[in-house]
Parts: sequence; structure tokens; C-alpha cells
Amino acid sequence: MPRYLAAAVCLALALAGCKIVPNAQGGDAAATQDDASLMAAKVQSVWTPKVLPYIAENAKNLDTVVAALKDGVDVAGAKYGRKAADLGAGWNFVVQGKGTIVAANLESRAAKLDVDTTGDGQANVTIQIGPIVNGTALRDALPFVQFTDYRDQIQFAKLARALNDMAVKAFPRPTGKPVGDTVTFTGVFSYAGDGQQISLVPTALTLGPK
Amino acid sequence: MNMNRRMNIKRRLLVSAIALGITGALPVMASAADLMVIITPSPSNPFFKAEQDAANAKAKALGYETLVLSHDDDPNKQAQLIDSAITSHAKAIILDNAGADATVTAIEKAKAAGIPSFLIDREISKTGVAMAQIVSNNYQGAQLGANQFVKLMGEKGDYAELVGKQSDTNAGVRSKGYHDVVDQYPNMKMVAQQSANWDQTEAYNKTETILQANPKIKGVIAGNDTMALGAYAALKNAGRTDVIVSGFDGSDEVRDSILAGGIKATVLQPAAAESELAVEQADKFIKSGKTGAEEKQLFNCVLITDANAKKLNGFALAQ
Repeated sequence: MPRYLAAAVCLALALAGCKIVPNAQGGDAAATQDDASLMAAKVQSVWTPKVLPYIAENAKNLDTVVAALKDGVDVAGAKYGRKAADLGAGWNFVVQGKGTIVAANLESRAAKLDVDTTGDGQANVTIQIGPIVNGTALRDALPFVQFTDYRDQIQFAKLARALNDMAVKAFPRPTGKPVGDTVTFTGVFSYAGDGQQISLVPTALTLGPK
Repeated sequence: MNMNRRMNIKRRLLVSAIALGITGALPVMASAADLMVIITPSPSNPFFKAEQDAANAKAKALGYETLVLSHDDDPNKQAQLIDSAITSHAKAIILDNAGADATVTAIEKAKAAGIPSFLIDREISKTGVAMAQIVSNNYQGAQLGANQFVKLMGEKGDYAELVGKQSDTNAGVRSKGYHDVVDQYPNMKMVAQQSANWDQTEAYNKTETILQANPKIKGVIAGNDTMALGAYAALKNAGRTDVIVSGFDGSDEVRDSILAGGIKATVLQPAAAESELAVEQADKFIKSGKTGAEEKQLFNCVLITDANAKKLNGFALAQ
């Protein structure tokens, strides 16, 4: 290969590792790219000093909340939760609990554990273990997060994503066949009283023995 | 007759003259009720008609006089309508706006004239100008729709995306929301992405072409319900009702399609609920000087499938 061609190939390979960040005025794609890294940086800065302490101070026992939900979500919410900032999203609950894994789907990109905490053999909570985590429960549970402080709903959504990504990085991902294992967890869920399964975003998760 | 009484009657005549065509009734010349002006895009789109009807009914129920107007997505017309709200001494403006930047100037002018604005559906590019921005969480809604789409596709397969009108911010917001979810699944392959400009016929034609070029297609995700309807019709015509179609808005037509086993899902923007909330916050502000809420409020969208489509009517979900 001629030398200049080799040099060009080397240059191209070297540049392949670079991310050229476009000017913020460069259009939607540029703005979104900046948002993702901006929000990731924001989450880094608040995770340990603000998010984890808030969760630790406000975590209620999951079984207590589940029992209260039988009286209606507004009753349970007023006692143990916080009204979700997003209208129509119901209430946010910060909880901790312990249970047995009765089912697991680790193949999906949105992996889940179905957990029974009440001991009746039926799953009463689904824990999202990622890497894809759905929903904005974690973002919406934090009282120091306000939509007005963000440029628009896209940036606000990227914040939710950054928080979810941070959460699932916080614990080692279950592998193999976890059905039958005990699991201890802390996390957040939002609930509108629609009879859906509780879907928890965990901020801490430990697998116990079988 | 003192000056104030004369001014009142003059104003009421002006408002009555404008309102006559809409309400069809001559208001009683009693003490002047406070006026709320409601401005949205054209009600030829049932979504905006639902906004108008809900805001109008709520305002009237709270004892206000109303003026219901359409800016037809034209910022110049919007500016004129806001001017007329100012000259009519409206107590509040309820607005689904015609452009995030252009609207700022118009409602700043109303604010300077002492008239607060309460925005619904779409945000503007500045805070501190409107008293409330009750924003449809289109991005969250798109994530919901995409989530369901991916689930129905079994997390893999070829799909096409129909995007809305490029000049409409929501076209981009929804597409981004879709991709935020779908692009995380490496086995979901977008084989075509085209704009059908929110239009049913265009969506039909584009889907026909896409299907011919990509016969292995398994799903079509559309940026709104009218495009989803066009896509589904084209697929049905080609004998391909196996293809999964999803939309966005929560229209009665798509509801009916879902219940008949056609289109598989849509996402409801709670137009009626947002409008009512805006009127309530305007009323609270008029009476107490406060809305009781943050300026910017996100109003979540709701996934509609055959599980809850029966409860959907006029862009509102029954409890």
C-alpha cells in the first residue's frame, strides 16, 4: 500500500474514536447529543450528595405500602408517597423490601425480575434491572427536580434516562437462573391506581441465597 | 350615565358582536361577566375541537363569558387574535400556540396589558411570560407507544416509520421519543422512514410504496393517528393485516380500529383534561393571584390498547 494511503487509513482510524461535538446551533441532532451528555453529567453531580440520601431517608417498607394501596392509591399516596409532578402520573413511592424471585426474564433488553414479597407465591412487584429501564418514576420522585428548570420535555426526558442508567449501574446485574433466590432491594415506583403490576426502578439490589 | 357604565356597555357590545356567531345567543345586559378567550389551531382537527369544547364548557361552568377562536397555525393571525383579546379586556387567555418563539412576543404584550396567558399542549421557548404551560408530554407518550410497538414486534423485525409534518415541532419530538426506545433494541431494523405530513392519503400512498420495496416488513409506527389510519388501509388493501400498526393522539377513529382488531395501539394526549386544568388555573389566578402550581407542568400521555380503548372518547379516558 502506498505510504500516503496508509497514512490516510491510520488517520481515519484515529479519528474514528473521536466524537466531533457540533455547535449547539447545529440543529436537533446536535441538541439531543448535548442533552444526553449534559444530563449524564448532571446526574453524576447529584447522585451521591442528593439522590441517594433522599431515597435512604424516605424509603418505606414495600409491604406496608402494598397493604395501604388496597384502600386506594390516594389514601396510600397521602400517607407514604409523594404526588407525581407529571400530571396524570399518580403518586411516587420510595420503598425497600425483600422477597423471593418467582420469575425472571434476563433475555430481553428490558430485563425484569418478578418478586413475591408477601409470601403467597404470587409476584407482587416487578423489578426492572435494565439495561433498558422504562418510565420516569425515579426522576419524578425527586422533589428537587423541576420541569421548569429544564429547556423542554426532551431534555427533561434525557434526565430521566440518565437517572435510570445510573440506577441500574449501581448493582451487579443478576445472571444465570435467579428464580428461587431471595432479593433485597430499594427503589422507586409510580402508581396511578390502574391495577397494573408495580414496576420498580431499583437504586440498590442484592441477591441472597436460594 | 357615568363613564364606566358606558365603557362596559360598549365593550359588551363588541364582545357580543364577535361572540354572536359562535354562541348564537344574545347575552343578557346584566353585570359584565369576566371574559376568557380560548385560542387553538383549527377545530377541523378533532383534537383541537376537543380542546376548544372542553375549555369552553369549563369556563362557562365557572361563570365566565367565552370567546373561542382559531389561529390556523399562523403566528400573524395568532398575534391579531391576542390583540383582540386585549381590546376586549379579557381576564385570561387559554392558548394552544402557533409557534414556540413567535408566541413569546404576543403573550408578553398581553401580559403588559394585564392579561395572563395559560398555555396548553405545546411549550414556548421562554419561561416567566405565561402563568402556566400545561404541556403534553409527547416525548413520554412516544416512549410509551414505542415500548408497546417493540413488545408486539417481539423486540425484533423490520419496520417503517411515518413521520409528521417537518415544520411541526411535535413531529420531531415524537420521532425522537420513538427512537429513544426502539434504537435500544439491536434486532429492530428501520427499513424506511418517511414523512407523510400528518396526512391520511399521503400515508396510504407512502405505505404502499414502502411495502412493495420491503415485503418482509413486520410493523409500521406512525407519528399520529391519521397517518396510522392511512397506513393500515394500505396494508389491508394489500392483504397484509399481519403488519403491526401504531399511532399517536387517541382519536375515536383509531379507537374503533383497535376495537375491531386493526391498528394495535395509540397514545392519548389528554386534550380535554389539559384544557380544563388550564381554565381552572386561570380561574384560581384571577381570584387569588396564584395558580397554585409551577409554571411548566407536564401532562402525561396514556397508552391505548384493546385493554382500555373502550373507555376512550373525545380525547378523554373515562375512569
